[in-house]
Amino acid sequence: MLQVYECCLTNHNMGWPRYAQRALMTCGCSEDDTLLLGLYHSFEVEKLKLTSGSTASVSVDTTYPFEDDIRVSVVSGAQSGQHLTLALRIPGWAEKATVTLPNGTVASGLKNGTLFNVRLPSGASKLTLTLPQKVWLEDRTTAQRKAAAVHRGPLLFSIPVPYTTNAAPKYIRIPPAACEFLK
Amino acid sequence: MCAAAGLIPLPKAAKFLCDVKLTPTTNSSSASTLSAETTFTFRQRTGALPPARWAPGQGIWSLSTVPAELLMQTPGQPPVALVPFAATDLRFTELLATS
Repeated sequence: MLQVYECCLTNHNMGWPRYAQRALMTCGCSEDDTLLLGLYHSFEVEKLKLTSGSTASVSVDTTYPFEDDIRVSVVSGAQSGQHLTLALRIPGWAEKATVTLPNGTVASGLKNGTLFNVRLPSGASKLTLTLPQKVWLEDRTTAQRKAAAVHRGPLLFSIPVPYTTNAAPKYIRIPPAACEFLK
Repeated sequence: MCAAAGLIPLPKAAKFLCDVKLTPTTNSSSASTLSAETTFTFRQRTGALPPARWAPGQGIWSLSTVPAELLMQTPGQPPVALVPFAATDLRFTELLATS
């Protein structure tokens, strides 16, 4: 269904399978094997076919956005001597992001709003992306009111609004032009 | 498929019954006032299961199962537990700008 039904973005639940489907992307822009990990959640992909014809298996373990760490395991089927580039998205809000590389060293000073590329050898590799989440306020002041939006990392928070349902039957008139396509 | 011009398919009848009324604004109490001394604590949501990796076949979390909340405390005011409302993590322009 997802392969042929790619419309109606306003159907909000359609966003979820698309979100999962696009977490990991292959790059067809060059002959090099490149994977883009752009959306962070737990998933596993086995034997993904790459540009060169080799395969890669990727596993992501995290409870992001409820934790800072995203643990990534990659098994590259590239031939010995070749490498696989894994591009990690550093979100725009993420300051002081770090990546613990497979050899244990920590890459820091990563610029937010960019991609960080990691070259992985053939075989199994593990790394951890850490996106420290902090509370940040966004000024939403208008002429009528003083207000601020409260964020923490990628999440926007809200005062809990109690659920209420008010029955207010009434007719809404739709412009005839809006129904032209049904004729 | 999508309707022409991106319109949401509608019944042919030009009228339909709306049985839900949306309240456009909700007044916040004075307890939600921010100050320079306001502190925030990210914690597990009261009564919710802790965050966990999804098991195969398990659905993606919804607002009713969000495991975390942000406790906002301003001196002299009762604490307020804020709940996740939306995610601002999908900024594909970042990818376009750097790829």
